Amino acid sequence: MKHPMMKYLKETGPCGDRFPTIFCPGCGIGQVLNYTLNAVDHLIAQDGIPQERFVFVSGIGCSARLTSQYLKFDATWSLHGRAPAVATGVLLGRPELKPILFTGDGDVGAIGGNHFIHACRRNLDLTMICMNNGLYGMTGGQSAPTTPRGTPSTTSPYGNVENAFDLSKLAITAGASYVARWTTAHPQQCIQAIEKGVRKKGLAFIEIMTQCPTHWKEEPAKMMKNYRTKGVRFSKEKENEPLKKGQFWIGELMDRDQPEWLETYQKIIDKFQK
Amino acid sequence: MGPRALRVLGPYDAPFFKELKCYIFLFVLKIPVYLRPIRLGKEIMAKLFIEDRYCKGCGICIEFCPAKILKKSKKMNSRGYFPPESSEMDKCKKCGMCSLLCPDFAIVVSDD
Repeated sequence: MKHPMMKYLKETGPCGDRFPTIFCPGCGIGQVLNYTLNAVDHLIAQDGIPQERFVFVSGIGCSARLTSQYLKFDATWSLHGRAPAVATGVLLGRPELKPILFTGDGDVGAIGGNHFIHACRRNLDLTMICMNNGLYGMTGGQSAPTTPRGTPSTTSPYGNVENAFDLSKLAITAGASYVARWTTAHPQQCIQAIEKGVRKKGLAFIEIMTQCPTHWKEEPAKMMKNYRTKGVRFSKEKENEPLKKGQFWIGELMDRDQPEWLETYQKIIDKFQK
Repeated sequence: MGPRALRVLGPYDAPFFKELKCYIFLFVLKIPVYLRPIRLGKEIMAKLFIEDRYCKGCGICIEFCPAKILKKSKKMNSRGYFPPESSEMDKCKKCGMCSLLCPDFAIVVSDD
């Protein structure tokens, strides 16, 4: 018997077998793909959204490999960091589509920072899934904007001297409607967050802390257990409490109703067409 | 201050009388207990399907299995990794955690 999510994946292509995946053993990106497909499966079954309505857009990086290589959905493998820009075009061209973006932390936090904050500012009806592993995985483990301070990496052997970027906080400040952060050790929560993000009007930013066993040089299961202990459940009352070193908030960080870009624009069009 | 109500979840491989002793203990202490439904009839044993070529032997399913019934096999697959195997599938609760956490879509637990 095959895996139930195998019906959404291309097993073979014109150049031979596509499976096993290109990722390292124990990579969290495969898990994120598994959770996303589970969420999409629920959406197709419960909300009756046809499979053709989902569009997957990605940039460049390990995480971007997911779209056109493995998925049976419509997909675009776009430029580095420009996934929000391409998805904006997709959404404005055909507003009934539901774009889901696969982005990495180097994609969204470094080169595509401006695209990301302006997509949040416009509050477009997108679902962004950011796989945050805290370094540049594809190029060899260099320190990224999300590498915690003091952590050694290939380009900072004596510890990173820079402050880390909190992508979820950035999304909240820029004006996203729904922001959640989970880790790969929280499968059901990830699935629910992605479902809610697709249903939500406005930009949904879901940051998933993924393990990179190759460059952090640890066992994947051990890394996942570490993430589980380091993640502190977020609530409004505890918002101002200081966190210990290495800890981070997990949970629904923001869930608010804000005017969505397309709706606002449609109102202006309707006003003049009357 | 003790908990007012306790939900007793049986440990995965506790024998029946051990669980019963736990319930009696809680009854004496006057702690309300919500009994879990007892399944009548013999349960169908789940089967484990592993796609040998896809597995990369990362060990996530082995570590995260709640029943702890998976272990690394001694036989190498075609790519040089050691896929998981299980000899005690009667303890499997069909939670599906292994197939949900698998990054390579290699492991499935199913009735048929």
